Amino acid sequence: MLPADLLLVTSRSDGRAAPRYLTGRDEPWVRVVMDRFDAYVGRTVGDRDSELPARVRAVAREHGVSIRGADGVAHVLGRRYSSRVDASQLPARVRAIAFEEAARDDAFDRDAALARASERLQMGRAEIARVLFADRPERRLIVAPPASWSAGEAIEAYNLALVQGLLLRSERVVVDVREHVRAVVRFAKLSGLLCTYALGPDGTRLEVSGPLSILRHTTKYGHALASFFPAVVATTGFRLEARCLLRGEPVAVSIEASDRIARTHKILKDADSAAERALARDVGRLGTAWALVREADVVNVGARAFFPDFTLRHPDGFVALVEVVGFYTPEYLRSKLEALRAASARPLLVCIDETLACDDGDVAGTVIRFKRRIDAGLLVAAAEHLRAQRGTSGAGQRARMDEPESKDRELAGRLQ
Amino acid sequence: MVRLSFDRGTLRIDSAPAALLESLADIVRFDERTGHHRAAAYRYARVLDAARGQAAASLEDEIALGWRRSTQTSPPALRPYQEQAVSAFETFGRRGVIALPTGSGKTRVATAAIARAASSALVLVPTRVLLEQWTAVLRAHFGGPIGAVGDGLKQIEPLTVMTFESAYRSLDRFGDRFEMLVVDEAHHFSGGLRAEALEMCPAPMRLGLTATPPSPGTAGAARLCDLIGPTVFELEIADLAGSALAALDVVRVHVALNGQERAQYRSDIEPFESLRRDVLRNNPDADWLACVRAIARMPGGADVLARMQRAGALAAFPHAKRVVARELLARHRADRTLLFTAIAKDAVTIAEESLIPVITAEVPREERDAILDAFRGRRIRAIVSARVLNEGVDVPDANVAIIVAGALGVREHVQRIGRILRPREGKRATAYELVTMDTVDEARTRARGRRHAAGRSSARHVA
Repeated sequence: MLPADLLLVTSRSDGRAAPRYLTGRDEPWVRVVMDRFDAYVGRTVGDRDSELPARVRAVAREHGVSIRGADGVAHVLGRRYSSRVDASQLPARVRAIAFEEAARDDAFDRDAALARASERLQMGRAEIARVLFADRPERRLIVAPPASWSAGEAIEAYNLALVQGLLLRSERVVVDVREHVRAVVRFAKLSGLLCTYALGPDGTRLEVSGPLSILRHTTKYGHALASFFPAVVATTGFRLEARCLLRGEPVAVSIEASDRIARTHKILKDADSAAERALARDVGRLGTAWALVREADVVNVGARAFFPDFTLRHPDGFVALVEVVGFYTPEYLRSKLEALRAASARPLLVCIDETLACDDGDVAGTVIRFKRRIDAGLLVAAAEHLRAQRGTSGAGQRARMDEPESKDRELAGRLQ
Repeated sequence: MVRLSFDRGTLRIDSAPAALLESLADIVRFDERTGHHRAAAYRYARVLDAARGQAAASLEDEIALGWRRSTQTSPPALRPYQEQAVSAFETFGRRGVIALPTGSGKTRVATAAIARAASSALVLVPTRVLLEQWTAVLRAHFGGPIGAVGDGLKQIEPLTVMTFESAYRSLDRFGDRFEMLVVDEAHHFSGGLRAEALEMCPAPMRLGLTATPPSPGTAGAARLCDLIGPTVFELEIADLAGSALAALDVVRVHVALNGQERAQYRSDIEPFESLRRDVLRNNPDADWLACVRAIARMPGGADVLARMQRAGALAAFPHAKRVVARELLARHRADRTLLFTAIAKDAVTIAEESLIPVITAEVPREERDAILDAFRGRRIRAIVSARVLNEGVDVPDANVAIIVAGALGVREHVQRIGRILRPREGKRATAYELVTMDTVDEARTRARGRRHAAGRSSARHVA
């Protein structure tokens, strides 16, 4: 993430600010900066650090672009290169022996000390002098990154670092998430952040903040918000709104899925995702007005959040929650059924694998039994039945999710 | 019934009557996200006092329920001034900062304070070295296991030592386990981000230890007072030198830039001085930092500041200082000498030239331990360091300090001199300060003031 002095935003009079992203137009000069970096592979870190900043700024001046923008790109690129020690023997050993020999004489005699060390180490005096501090950070040799980047990838990484730098200075973010809600929530909670949510027409609105944010801005949770952002970027169609403190001034910043930002994280699919994917496909093939959406909803069950596998949405606004009870341990099933009972205030369809001996009476909501594959036609018919019974409902619920991650283990267990 | 509990580094307050909340309005807020009232955890003592005052019979304090007692075996014997320090801490309700010079036994004072409180205690330390040292000290005086968190360790016990970094990362989870908080080198928390660690710990008993408390009336002093408590006891090197600490001679050695260096220095510093004069003309009250910030915003300001820094680096370590450092090392070859430079690069230059070990932040623990061990065993005669040896590292019985240059002002200087003041029968310590005349180096030396001037002082000029 970019440090404060490299954060470029365009401020507006209404207290909003837009991140100044790099775009395709910046690719030519970014490529030149990347070439400047590559030219230092095999040379020392010290050489690069003392010479490269001026060269990067020269590139910025030549191309008529922001110096701070170029410094920001250099900041991002610099982190890609590792370094290695160029020495025939471990420098620490060479030091230990050379310094011990140097301390022997009552009057310091550098040549005599190095001669004795040379004998013990079986290496020449000039080599001793070279290796003595070859492991100092500035004397290490630069190693090329394992994979080369295109200028476009560098730009996306810069834009991600810019957003994360802004979020580091934020106290609260509001995110509209269309999919993988539970994974996003889990990321937030793992970082000790508090999440609240409201249901919206296109998914779930999460409000994420640090516990102390009601009292003041804390860097600890700024870090957490910045670290949590890649989980948001991994989802499609997100929108994020952050309140940041930039150079002492509060500003609102919006980030959207269409922004050109690197996706560094991938949210892994659930173990049962194959069956779920098949169901989504089958519902689509029915050609009805119903749409099956994965993980778009959150239900508050006491102090715990419950994420139904799907929601079935009708164009008139009716929403039925769909939970697939698949291949789990008896303990998990018991806990799940408890959650489902508590959630039954909302229209709920429960699909139960017949191989699990589960009495219908245990489960609130309409139960659909299946073997291996859920019948999409039956599911939609059941949803129609609920819609006819209960009318339109579903949007606008607001609830709290305030339990720390440690109390949410069985939920987290499904998120790998 | 008012209920107090710990929730992710904050104090959660449930069922509090309106009058109580009103009396705490400056520190307690209603949290709409969770439907509770909330305060920073370190406000626990004040909230508890207020709650006891208003709802004595109906208070449920979940935080105190989680505390365990420490097992005391052998409290340390104290010198009179150490005893006074512990008494002062207790008199102030076990909340405050004790300021004692390096080498005067702050660890011993804190160990006694923990033993006398007989409570669970968390000791926060800035470095991995201190983590080990504190763990060993607590093990020597208390029964039961001693916890350690940091440097790859994560064991929490009623008595636990934790690095600042680990505290920042984890006290939102473990901050409520301890009734007493001891903060070694507490001046680190007079500003900066890591102070949030102390906010996440509700411990009502809070002891800060430092050799260099922030000056009274400054923002740093106010912050430390808020997070830990007021300075309840303070002694300076001058109070103890020659008695509880070794006697000290301070020798200031003035050096000059050579012709080439002078030309380079002037060329690099002049653009900065010129812009600084402009800033001061418009804003006569601007301090150094304000000037630097103003110049940073000017066109070309970054380059001017970079050149100013280069001039500062030259003044901190010109050729003449290299020569003097070499001469002093030769003169004190029979002694145990510590050299301090402003930056690691200069320390390495001296190390390469004089073939003495260097301890910087990059030196791994094993090598650092081996160097200190060799120094103790007299297999090496001197160590050069930039900042790592400023504080915390236990360097027994060095008697000469050569301060080639400083970068961090009075605090650093006092800590460095403190490194050679560990008392020994008949010991007389000598500190050399190398100062480059007519440069920012001289200005820095003047700004350090006279705080350290505990022993005899003299000056010497080297052309």
